[in-house]
Amino acid sequence: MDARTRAHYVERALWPIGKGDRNFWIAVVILSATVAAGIAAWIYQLQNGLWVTGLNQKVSWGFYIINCVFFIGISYGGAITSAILRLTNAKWRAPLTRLAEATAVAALLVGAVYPIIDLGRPDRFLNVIRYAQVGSPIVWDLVAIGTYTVASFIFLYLPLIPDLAVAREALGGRRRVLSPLYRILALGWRGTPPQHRALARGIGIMAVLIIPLAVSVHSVLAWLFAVTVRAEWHSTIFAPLFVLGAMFSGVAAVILVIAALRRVYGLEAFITAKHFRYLSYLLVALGLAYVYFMVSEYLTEGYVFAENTTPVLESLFTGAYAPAFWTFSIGGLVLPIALAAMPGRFPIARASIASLLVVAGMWLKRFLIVVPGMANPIVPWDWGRYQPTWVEIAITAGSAAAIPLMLIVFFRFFPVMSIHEMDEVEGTHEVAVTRRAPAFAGGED
Amino acid sequence: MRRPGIALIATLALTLTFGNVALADHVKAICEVTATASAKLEKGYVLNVRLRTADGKPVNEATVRFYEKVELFGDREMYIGSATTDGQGDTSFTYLPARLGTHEIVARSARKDHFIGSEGRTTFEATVAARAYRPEPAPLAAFSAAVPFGVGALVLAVWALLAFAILGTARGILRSGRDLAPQKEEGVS
Repeated sequence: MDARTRAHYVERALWPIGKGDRNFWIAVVILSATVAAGIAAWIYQLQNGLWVTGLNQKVSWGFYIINCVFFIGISYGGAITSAILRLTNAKWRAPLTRLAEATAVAALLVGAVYPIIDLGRPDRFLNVIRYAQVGSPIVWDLVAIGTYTVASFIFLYLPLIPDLAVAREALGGRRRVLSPLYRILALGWRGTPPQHRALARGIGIMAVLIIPLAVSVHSVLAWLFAVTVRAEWHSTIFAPLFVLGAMFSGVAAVILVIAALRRVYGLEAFITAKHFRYLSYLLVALGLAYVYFMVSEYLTEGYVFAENTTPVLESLFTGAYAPAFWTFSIGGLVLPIALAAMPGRFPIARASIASLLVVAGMWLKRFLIVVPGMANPIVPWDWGRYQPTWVEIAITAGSAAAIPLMLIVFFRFFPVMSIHEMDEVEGTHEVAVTRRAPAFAGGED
Repeated sequence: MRRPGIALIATLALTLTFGNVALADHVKAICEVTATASAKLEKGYVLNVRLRTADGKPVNEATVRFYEKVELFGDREMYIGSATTDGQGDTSFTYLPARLGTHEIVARSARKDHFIGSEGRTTFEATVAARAYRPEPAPLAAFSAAVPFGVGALVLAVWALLAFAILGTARGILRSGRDLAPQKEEGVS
């Protein structure tokens, strides 16, 4: 990368910092209003109790648990995309990793709140800690999500250190308020070889660690379902299916975020059609793997047609939930995979549309896991019914708006693309290390 | 307007006439319940029921269901068992309560032939109760008990790695930065 291109890259990476143009404020107002509506709905629920939701005695898990699984899944996709690109030392990763890591943190913060919302009484959340049962998946869920949250913040922060030093220098006195913050967070970064080594080691550890952590979080979430005796949930394939579903929807969400912010921040010169093609390949691979897992699950259960699973399978394939199931199968799986795999023109538009379908489809899939599984009675009762109320819809919309809001606010203070990483992969900046960092640490192999 | 009124009066008259005849055919049974301690106290308490008509005739072959009044999200009746009356209209049921203290029992006979169902109540003070249920150890219980500790150790190891990643990196960067501090500040890379 020549000096001019690098200067352009740095300028674009730092461009959003402190920029508060009209579009920014319009976006902030709209997103904040949606978030505020969600918070108001939650306060209404706190005042009146869970009866204001569609949750009931038979179907006590609904939108909140669906959203918890969905948003944490998206977070997982963001983290895993960045980690895989780092571990495989993909040269094209530099402009994407920051966006993926920030998406991971934002989605995680939203997803992690949902179990508390679902409790109805947030103060009772402390009971999970006060009366912890080590044999309970809920306790381990808390541990896994807590650990993963800390890891995600570290994974976002470490690659940010050199960029903060660059931002500190590049912005100079222009951003007097931010300079002290950058100085503290940059930890006195000067780009010396020992500093590069220390950073490469830290990022390397995190890139390796974040994958099993994310897998564990989603596996424990899956076991919350699978260790019950409910027909649709009691499945050995649930944990890998959840992990794969999380990766699939997460990569799709990252594509959407990248496609949107690329335009908003004018990153077209650096995030090109090539990036979308590569991410589409990843999406196709994950989608096909998900199809395989799903077929394997339904084939195994459908072939046996055990007495307790039959009603759920019938409701999914031909019964009350069939429209949602086939919408997901065709609109959320087959169609986006075909769109993303198709060679030819408009790769960005195709990847974006495919991702949108995947994100919507995977939310629907989580609905199809949670609601019919719970509505099917385990004692000889009638099927349960679940219809979300405006409270759940408002909270869902508010939380969905919180993710882009957090992202645009975050990128108002921190570089939107990794400058350090671009220097590293493009080789403009000669890293004078006495011992080369291994490939998993982002160094040359 | 007058016809529906006539029809209504006729229906009421028929119902009262034949209804009363039908009710008159049925006899109300009286259900007396008493509770006595079992000969072997550890076996619990015998709930004796005597089911008779008002004129003292026994009601035999009638099923009597026993309930205990409990407080479970409000007042409820917990079904505890049933017994059938003999030729004398008597039956009994041995009940070992789960807790000590006062127990209120309801015995209810169902409607049978021309006898209308009835119920009786009694209260007794339990001085013996069933031993607390202790489930048998689950298969692989010893292994299951050790699993949380294993997972806990793994979680601690992960936290140690996380701490090392952030603190080690920060320390490495800060130390190198301090070493350079006396020198002229170089350009940031």
